[in-house]
Amino acid sequence: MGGYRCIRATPGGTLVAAVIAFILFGIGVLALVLRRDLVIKLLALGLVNAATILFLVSIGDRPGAKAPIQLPGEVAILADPLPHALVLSAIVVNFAILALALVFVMILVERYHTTDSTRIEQEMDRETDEEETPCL
Amino acid sequence: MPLILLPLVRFVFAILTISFAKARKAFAILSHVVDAALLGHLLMLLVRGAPTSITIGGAPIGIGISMIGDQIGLTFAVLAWVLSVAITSYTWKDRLRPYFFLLLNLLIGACYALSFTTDLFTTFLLLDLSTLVSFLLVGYQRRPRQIWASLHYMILSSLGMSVFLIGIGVVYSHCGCLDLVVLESLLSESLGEPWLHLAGALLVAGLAVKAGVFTFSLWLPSAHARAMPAVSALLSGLVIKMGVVGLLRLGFVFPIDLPLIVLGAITGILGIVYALNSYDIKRLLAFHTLSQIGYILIGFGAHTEVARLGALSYEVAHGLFKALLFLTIGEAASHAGGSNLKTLIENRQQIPHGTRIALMIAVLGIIGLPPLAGFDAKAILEDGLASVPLHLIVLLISIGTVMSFAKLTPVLFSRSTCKTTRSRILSYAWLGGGIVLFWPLSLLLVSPGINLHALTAPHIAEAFVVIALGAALYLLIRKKRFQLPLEIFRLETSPLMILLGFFLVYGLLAIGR
Amino acid sequence: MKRHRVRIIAATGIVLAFAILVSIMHLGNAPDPSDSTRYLSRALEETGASNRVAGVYLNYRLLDTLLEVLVFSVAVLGVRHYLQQSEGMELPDLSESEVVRTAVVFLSPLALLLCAFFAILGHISPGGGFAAGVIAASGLLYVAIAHGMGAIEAQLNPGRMARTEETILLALLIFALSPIAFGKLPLSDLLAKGTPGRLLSGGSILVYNILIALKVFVGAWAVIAVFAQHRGEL
Repeated sequence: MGGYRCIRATPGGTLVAAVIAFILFGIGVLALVLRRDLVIKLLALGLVNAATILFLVSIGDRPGAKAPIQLPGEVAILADPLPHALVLSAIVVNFAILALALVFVMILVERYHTTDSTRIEQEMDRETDEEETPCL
Repeated sequence: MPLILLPLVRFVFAILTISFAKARKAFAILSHVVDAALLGHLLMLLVRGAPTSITIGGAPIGIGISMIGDQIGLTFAVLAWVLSVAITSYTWKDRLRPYFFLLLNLLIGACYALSFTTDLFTTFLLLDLSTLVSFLLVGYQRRPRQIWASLHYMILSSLGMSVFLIGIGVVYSHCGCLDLVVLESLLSESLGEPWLHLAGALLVAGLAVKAGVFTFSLWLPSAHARAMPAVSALLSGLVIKMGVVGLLRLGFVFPIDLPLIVLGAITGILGIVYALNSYDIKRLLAFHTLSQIGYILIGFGAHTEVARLGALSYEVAHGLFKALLFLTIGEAASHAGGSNLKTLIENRQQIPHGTRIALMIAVLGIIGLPPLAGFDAKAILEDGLASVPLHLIVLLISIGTVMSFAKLTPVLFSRSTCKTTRSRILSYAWLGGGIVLFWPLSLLLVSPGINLHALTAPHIAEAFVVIALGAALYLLIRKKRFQLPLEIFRLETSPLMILLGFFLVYGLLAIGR
Repeated sequence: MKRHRVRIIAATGIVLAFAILVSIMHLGNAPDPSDSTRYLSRALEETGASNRVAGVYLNYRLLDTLLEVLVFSVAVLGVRHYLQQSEGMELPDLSESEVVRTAVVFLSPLALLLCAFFAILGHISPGGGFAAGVIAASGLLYVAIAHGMGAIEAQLNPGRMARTEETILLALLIFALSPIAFGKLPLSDLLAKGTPGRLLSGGSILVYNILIALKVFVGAWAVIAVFAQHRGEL
C-alpha cells in the first residue's frame, strides 16, 4: 500500500468514452425533464444509468489492454477488473429499480388510462382523500 | 465479527419471516434480542477504547470492504435498533402481510450495514437497497397518491445514485481505491486539485438526495406524508439518517465543511418556511424533517469535536421524537378521520388518551423544552459553534419550529373519550421514555463535562425565550396565508433542482480552497 | 407557450453546463500508464481464478454481490406482491405453430446447456451466475411460448417455486456467512484454490456461481410468470 500515488489511468481512450458518456447522461436527464410520457421518462432514466456504466467501464482502460481474463503463462496487458465488478452490481441494481418503476407505471396507467404525467397529476389533485381507493 | 453479523443475521431473519410466516412474532422478538446482544458487545468494546474494525473475508485493507464500529457507527446503529423495536411493537396487532415484515427487516439490516461501512461502493449498494425497500413500503397500500409519490422518489433517487456512481468513478480513476479510511491518507496531499472538487461535489450531491437536504430531496414531503404512519416514522426517523452518515464519513476525507454549513442553513430555513404554510399535519412533519436535518449538517460542518457530538446527539433525539410524532399523528388521524388540521381540531375528542400524552411529549421534545431530548442535544450543538452567524441561524430555525408547531395546541388540550391499544402504548412509552430520559442516557456516549455544561442557565434561558418568541410570532401571523412556489416539488422540475444543487456545492468547494 | 420555451432553454442550459463541467474537470495530472492497480497485480495469486472479474466480485467484494442478489430478490418479491392475483386466472392454452414447436425442441435444451456452461465455468471464462440464470429463464420461456403456460404451471407450480427461491437465498446467505463473518475459516477453504485454468480452481467461486445462477433463474422465471398471468397471455 505504501508509495501508491493518486494518478490517472490512461489518456486518449478514456477521454473519448467519458465525454460520450456525459453527453448521453445529459440527453437522458433532458428527456427525463422535458418529456411528459411516463414510459419515456423511465427509458430516459435507463439511458442515464447506461451512461454512468459506460463511464465506469472506461476507467479501467489501459493502452492496448484486453479483457481481464487470462490464463497464467500468457503475457498481455489486462484491463482493470474492479470497474467491471462494480458495473455488474450496478446493472443488476438498476434493472431492479427500473422493473419496479415500470410495475408502478403500469398500475397508474391502468387506473388513470393515460401515460401523461401532467394529466395524472391533475386527476390526482381532483380526487379528494376520501375517494382515494387502492388500485388493483 | 459482530459488525458484519448484525446486518447478515437481520437478513437471515428477514427471509425466515417470509418462509415461516406463522412464527413471525417469535422471530421478531428473537431478532431484537440478538441485535441487542451484538450491539452491547460493540458498545463495550468502544467504551474500553478499542473500536473494532474488520475487513471482510480477511482481505487487505483497501482491497476488501471494511467496516468500523466507531462512535459514529454505533450511534446510528443504536438508533436503528431503538426505532425497529418501536415500529415492531406499534404494528404488533395490525394485520399486515409477512412481506411487510420482510421489507422491514431488510431495511433495518441495511441501516446497520450502512452505519458501519467505510467503502464507497458498498454504501452505494446499501443506499439502493434501502431506497428500493422504502419505495415498496411507501406504496404498500397501493393508493394512487402513494404510488405516485414512490415513483417520484424512485426516479430522483436513481438519478442521485447515478451522480454518486460517477463520483465514485472519478475517485477510483485517480486513486485506485474505494475505502474512505485509506482515501483519507491518500488524498491529504492532493487537496487543491480540480478533480477532487468535482468528485467531492458529485459524491455530496448523490448522498444529499437521500439525506433530506432541501434542493435535492424534493420527493420527501410527498413520500413521507402519504405513507402509512409506521413507514413514515421509520423513513423520517432512520432512513434519512443513512444519507447523513455518508456525508459525515465523507467529511473526514473531502474538504466539504463550507458546503455542509450552507446546505444545512438552506434546508433548515426553507423547511421551516414551507412548514409554516402546511395545514396537512403529516406534510408539516415531513417539512420539519427537512429542516431538522439542517441542524445536523451545520453541526458536522462546524468541524469541532463538541459540535460533532452535538450533531450526533441531535440526530438520535430527532429520530426519537420524529418517529413518535409520526406514530401518534397517524393514530390520531385514523381516529379523527383525516390528517388535515381542521379535521383534527374538530374531532379532537376522539383521539385516545395515551396518544395525546405521547403527542405532547413529542411536541415538547421538538420545540426544545428543557430538559427533554431536543433541548439537550441543541445545547451541546450550540456549545460547539464558534461563529455568531451560525448561532443566529440555529436560533432562527428553532423559533420557526415553535411557530409552526403552535398550530397543534388545540389538539393537545382537550378531553378524550377512548383508549389506546396496549401494544401501541408500549411503543409510545419506549420512544417517549427515550425523549424524557435523554439527558441521563446520553452520558453513555458523551462525556459528563460537556453534558453538564448543557444544563446551565444561559441555555435554559435561551430555550424559554425561543419558545416564547415562537408562540408570540405565531399569534401574529396566524391569519395570514402566503403563496410559495410549489412547482419545484413536481416531477418535471425536481431533477433540475438536483443539478442546480450540485453546481452550488461545486462552486462552494472550488472557492473554498 | 412562452413559459414552456423558457423551461426548455433553462433545462438544456443546466444539463449542458453539467455535462461540460464534468467532462473537463474529471481529468488530472499526467498519467503513468504502466502503473497497474492492486487488483490486477494480486487477483490471480490470491483468488486463483483466471477470470479476474469473478475473482474480484466473488472473493474480495463478496458482500457487494450478496447485497445485489438481495436487491434482485426484493424486486422479484415486489413484482409478485403488486401483480399477483389471488385466484389463479385461466390462461388460454396458446400453442404456437409447428415451426415454433419444432424449433423449441433443440433451442431450449441449448439454452439450459449454455446456462450450465456459464455457471460452472464462470471463474475461467466470461459468464458468471447472473448471465447463466437469465439464459435459463429465457430457455424456459421458449417452452412456454411453444406449449402454453399451462404445461409449465403443471410441473412447476408458483407456490413451490417461491419456496425454492427462499431456500436458495437462505443457502446463499449462510454459505457466504462464514467467509464474510469469520474471515478465512474451514468453510471458505472447502474448495482449494487449485491451479488457475482448471475446473476446480478459484476456491468457492464455483459454488457461488451455481447458487447465483439458480437464484436468478427462479427469480426471473417468477417475474415472467407473474406478468404472463397478469396480462392473460404471453
